[in-house]
Amino acid sequence: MPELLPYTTVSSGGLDLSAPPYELLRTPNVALLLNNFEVAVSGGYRRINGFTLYGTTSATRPEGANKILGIEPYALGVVVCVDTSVYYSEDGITWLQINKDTTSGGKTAAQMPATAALDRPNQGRAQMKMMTAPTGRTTTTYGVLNVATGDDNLARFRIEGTGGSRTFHWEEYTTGAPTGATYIENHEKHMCVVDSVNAPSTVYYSNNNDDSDYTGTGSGSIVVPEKIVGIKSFRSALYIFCDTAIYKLVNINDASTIAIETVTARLGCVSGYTIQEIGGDLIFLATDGLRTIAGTERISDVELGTLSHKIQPLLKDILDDSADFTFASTVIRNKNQYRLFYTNESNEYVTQKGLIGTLRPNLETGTMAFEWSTTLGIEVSALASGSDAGGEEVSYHGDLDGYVFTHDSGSTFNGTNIVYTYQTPDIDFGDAGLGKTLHYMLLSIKPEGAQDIKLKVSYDFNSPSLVQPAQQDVGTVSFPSYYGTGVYGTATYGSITPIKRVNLRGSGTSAAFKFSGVDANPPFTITGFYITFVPSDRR
Amino acid sequence: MATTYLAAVNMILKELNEVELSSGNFSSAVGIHAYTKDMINKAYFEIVNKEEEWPFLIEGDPEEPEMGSLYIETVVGQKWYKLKTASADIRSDFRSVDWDTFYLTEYGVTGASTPYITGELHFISTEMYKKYYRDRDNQSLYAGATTYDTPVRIFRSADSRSFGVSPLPDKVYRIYFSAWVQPTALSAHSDECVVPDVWMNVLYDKARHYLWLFKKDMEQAREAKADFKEGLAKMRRNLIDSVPDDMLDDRVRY
Repeated sequence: MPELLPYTTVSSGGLDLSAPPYELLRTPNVALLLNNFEVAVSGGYRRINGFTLYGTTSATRPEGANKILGIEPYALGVVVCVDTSVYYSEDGITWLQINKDTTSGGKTAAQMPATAALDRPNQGRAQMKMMTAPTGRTTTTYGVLNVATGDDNLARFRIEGTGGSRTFHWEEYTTGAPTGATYIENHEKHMCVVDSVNAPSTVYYSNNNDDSDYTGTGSGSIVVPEKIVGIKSFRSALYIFCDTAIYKLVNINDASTIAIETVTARLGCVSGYTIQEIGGDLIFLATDGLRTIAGTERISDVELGTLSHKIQPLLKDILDDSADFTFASTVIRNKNQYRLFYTNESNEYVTQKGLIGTLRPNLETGTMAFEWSTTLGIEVSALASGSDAGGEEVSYHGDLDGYVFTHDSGSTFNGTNIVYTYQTPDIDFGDAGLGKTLHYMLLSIKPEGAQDIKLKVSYDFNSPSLVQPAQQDVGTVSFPSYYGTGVYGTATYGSITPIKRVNLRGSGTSAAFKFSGVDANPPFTITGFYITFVPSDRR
Repeated sequence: MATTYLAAVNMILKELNEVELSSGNFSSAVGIHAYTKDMINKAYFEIVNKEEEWPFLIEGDPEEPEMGSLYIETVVGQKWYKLKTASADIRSDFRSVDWDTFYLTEYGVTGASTPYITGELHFISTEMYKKYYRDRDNQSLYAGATTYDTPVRIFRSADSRSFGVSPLPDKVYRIYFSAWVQPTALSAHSDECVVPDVWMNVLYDKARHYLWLFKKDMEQAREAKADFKEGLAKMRRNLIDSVPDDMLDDRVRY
């Protein structure tokens, strides 16, 4: 009998679009396509969750079809900026306009509709930043949310009290500079803002512990020689991301030593909306790819500093057309994930794209590294993560049509089936010159419900010189029912991580496997697979 | 229903765990799929070449009452007749002819009436014809129709494409004989294999032999070859070997 040989690989490493095909032959764990998948922290590639309307079936839009300009979890709900207004909602059904003349005493929810609006006619992309106990508001119930929306006055919103008697407070900063605010950050007891319209290279910082005053003790401003595109506090420095350089403001609380230091003058940041803190570092989209600030400080402009070299071809496309995109990013902490969405407002919903980077230890070296995947069909104009009233991490995003969604939830994209694809590189099974006939695959999969995965095997780099197998069904995978969720007579028995046998056809010197589908089924995680094959000839 | 070329090829591909072909990609098959197509034809020719008189290759209707599958009508005074009149050259001639089946009859000839003249046409060698009959037939030809007669023997032309009759025919007769056509290579996916379905496994065995050789699996190739030899012997016994004229029961009752 011919010798039936085994081959096993795990699914890890995420996308690798940079390595040449022959190098990839020996790295079967990575993916060439990993669309609408995420690298699971616990290993494997997991099809992502969908997103659901905030407010579910009764959800309403804050202000018709106007796009969501900013979003932030606050108190028991979310604050969103739309058109010339700012809204607050706790259920996604009723939206309360909060940019109102609430006076110093505030207004109750019942009074708010009749209260005069303070329109924000120049509202653009919004950033919001909380100070939970600033001077004068140390006992505020939920903290003070600073709202920066461009060439409108910097505003502060807070809710005092609870229940029906609680009051809503909206204050705008009109004392002087900054006269507007685009980027905002809470750093070392100061609220720091950049007015990109009137003073695009200046960082203003407020009084100590006071986000309501930019003229008193501890306040001030610094100027850098480039246009600022974002600011972010990280450890003891405020990093100032410019279009062609990066600086950091240090010693903000010591007037004698406060200083601007140059991190790099050789590259800049593409968009301040890409900057996030994750894994003890700052990640941002630089002009040559995604970078960490620590890496950039160490090796400046050398490409080695990028943490996205495995998806560099993809990033090059993004960078080449960066002016066309609306960037939005967030960190999903319980997944160690950095998510970056780049939405082209001219494109259809289904073509909108994003990146997911999961920080997890490298299997061989043990060092933490980002492993990447992509999204398709998630249109994001604003995105934020935070904690809900129960302390659970929750993420929200808004789209160009004015909808607000609970991000990373459900099994569809608001009712639209999720299109997903995971494709391995060509695998040579140890010998790139030897023909093999594949017999079957044992797929290690963790289903979270019913699934309908398709498998397409292609041989010899999908060579047209071979008759390639047709796409086939992976077949039913029994999934476990959990106590409290299983229904007698309906729920099935199943292993948490079942092994699914899939018979294969065809032969070649190498083979690639593509798992795909378009459905509304719950997610699943592919953790690896085992292949049996018969080696044959070297023709 | 006869097995189509596509079905035969897919039978082998399935055994090899290869992707099956469809009618859509059959003609454009490449690699091992094209090779499998070739090997089905090669196996077919291999079977055909083992015997001359496979019944599935006979020309015409072998159930003719004259025991031949086809006939040629003679022309008064004409000695030579092409075995396959429509054939342009030897590549499209009959693959083989059974020279013992030639039979002459008036039955079916226009204007003929009972009692019909009939008779076996005996095959003689060309040498024999030249030695004993050629000169007489030539004299007859020179003398004219009055000397023609009913042919009683046949002989083969030097190029084997024609047969001659002697004496020269005095009227129109039908000469029946059995012949087998050349095998035609399968080409289109819907082409039907002429080998009876029940014996297709013999063809598959030979094709598998070639494919396993291609795959460098000598053990499987050897087994397929042994299966082929055994199957071919059975096929020959069933389809060609004569049934004995007499049967004898030699058991002894005690």
